[in-house]
Amino acid sequence: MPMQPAPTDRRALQTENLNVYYRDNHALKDANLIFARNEITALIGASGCGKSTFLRCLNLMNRQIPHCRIEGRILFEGTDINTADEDVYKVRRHIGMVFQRPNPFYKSIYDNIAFAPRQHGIRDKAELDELVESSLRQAALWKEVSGKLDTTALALSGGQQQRLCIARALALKPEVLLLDEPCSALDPRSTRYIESLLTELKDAYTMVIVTHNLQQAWRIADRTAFFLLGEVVEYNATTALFTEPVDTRTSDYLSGRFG
Amino acid sequence: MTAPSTPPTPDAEGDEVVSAAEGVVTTALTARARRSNTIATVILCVIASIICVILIGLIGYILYNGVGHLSWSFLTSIPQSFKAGGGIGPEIFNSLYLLVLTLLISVPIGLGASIYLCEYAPDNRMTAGIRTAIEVLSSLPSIVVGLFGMLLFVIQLGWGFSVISGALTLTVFNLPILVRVIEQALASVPSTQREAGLALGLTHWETMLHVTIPAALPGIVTSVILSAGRVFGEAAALIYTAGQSAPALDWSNWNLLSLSCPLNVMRPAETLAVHIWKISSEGIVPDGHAVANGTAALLIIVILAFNLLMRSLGAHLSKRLTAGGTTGREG
Repeated sequence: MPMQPAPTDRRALQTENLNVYYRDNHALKDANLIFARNEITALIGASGCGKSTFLRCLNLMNRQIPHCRIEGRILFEGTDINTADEDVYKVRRHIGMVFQRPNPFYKSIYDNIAFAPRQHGIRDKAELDELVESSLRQAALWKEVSGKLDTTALALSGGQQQRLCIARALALKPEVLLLDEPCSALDPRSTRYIESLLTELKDAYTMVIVTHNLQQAWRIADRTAFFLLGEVVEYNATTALFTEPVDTRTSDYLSGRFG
Repeated sequence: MTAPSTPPTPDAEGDEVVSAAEGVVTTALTARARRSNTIATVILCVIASIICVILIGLIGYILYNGVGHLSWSFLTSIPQSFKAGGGIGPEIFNSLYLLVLTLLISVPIGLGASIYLCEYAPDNRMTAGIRTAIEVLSSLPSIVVGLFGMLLFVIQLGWGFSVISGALTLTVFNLPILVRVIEQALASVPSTQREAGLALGLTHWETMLHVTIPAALPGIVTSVILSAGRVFGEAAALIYTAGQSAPALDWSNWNLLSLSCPLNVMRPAETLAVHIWKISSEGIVPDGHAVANGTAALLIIVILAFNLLMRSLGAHLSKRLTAGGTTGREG
């Protein structure tokens, strides 16, 4: 596999020989990827190629699925988190996730953000207020919703809902943010808005984004990994991968010959 | 709208015609589609009207015949066994008391069972078996449940015809429906909601309690209302469990072991529905017909009132928990 690993001193997240099985279906084969701190990494590939499966391993979400087996090492800040006694709830506070379709809770805008921190022990009202405001500001949503924090989040537009979901994830102050096709349900304008938001957030967070949209990977990702049939075919700096793909399967995919 | 004399057949033949004269065929097809649309709409309207007429007719008939008999003395005085002028005071309280007790017992159990089935139970033969059992139980005739209650609570456990025998029998009668409908309400909450909770480092239980249940609340309230109506109007299951006699209640008596204490769960307690059945089947009071009519009218009014009360309570609760969001949309 042609690889351009990130510099060793900036590794936020790394997988070693990661394999995923759904019963007998070998969905992910020996994935070895390194994600550098404060970079956006895009995972591209056709549907069913294992990129979402891979992403959902990184915060151990796949553990929720019955008959799903995850083998190999997932190193977060140097420690393997894919162990039986790992506290998955703690891991998920450090590695946030944003989903394909905006999924705000059936709660007010305020509670969408304050709910999880409150459950995790923050009870002070002033502290929560501050957290809600800073998270919404980070997600570039504060100006639009500051006057209606007590109204339901479901009345927001799709793009606003997705930014709320990003704010909700940021409120836990994670180190890593995983995004599973965050723009696939949004219109082009909201998509561009979220893309520029992600680019800004790069200074503070490490991000891994699954995307179907090659232009999106090109626009925002520092590195890109190409998945095919459960395998990582190629992983490189985005410019290099798009302009000089080493593997013919990569160039075939990029030029639209399949997928 | 002009229909062709021979409507074009779809599929193979239709394709041929399309290539020959596409415009004409399209018009003919639209005309046909429009005609069937009109017919379907008319049929559905007729069906809906039939249902409305039956419902309004039934409720109107009951209210028309019964409301005239409703008076303060009828609602508060005790029933008579031989002469006219008996009231239904104790029956009203008994019905409400049994309803509250039944809900207090069955809602927590039903909620627990449906949460387990929907969220925790592994997808295997065992749970499939439990679901089938629940479905069978929910269609069990209430007289069978009543006889079961009599054998178990009244005779075997020796509780006699009592409020508690009745409440537990109604729980048996009520639980299957409650579990099924609440489970459906929980299952209809999108799985993305649960994922969102878990991805924030919340446990399954926290997500359940603070995300899934509030989102499912309108459905849960509806199922409680539906089951409450069934319980309130139930007679067959109570005839041999809560009994057919209504001892006069003394509101100053708080000795829980006394027969006249309203809250005593060991006393027999005839309900409104049982009273209707008794008075119109084996009653010998001369105004039995009028008493049954008045009781039926009251029964309907109380169910309606309970329905409205629960709905506004549910709406209020839902609003507090979800900022009025359950009627909105996601994504």
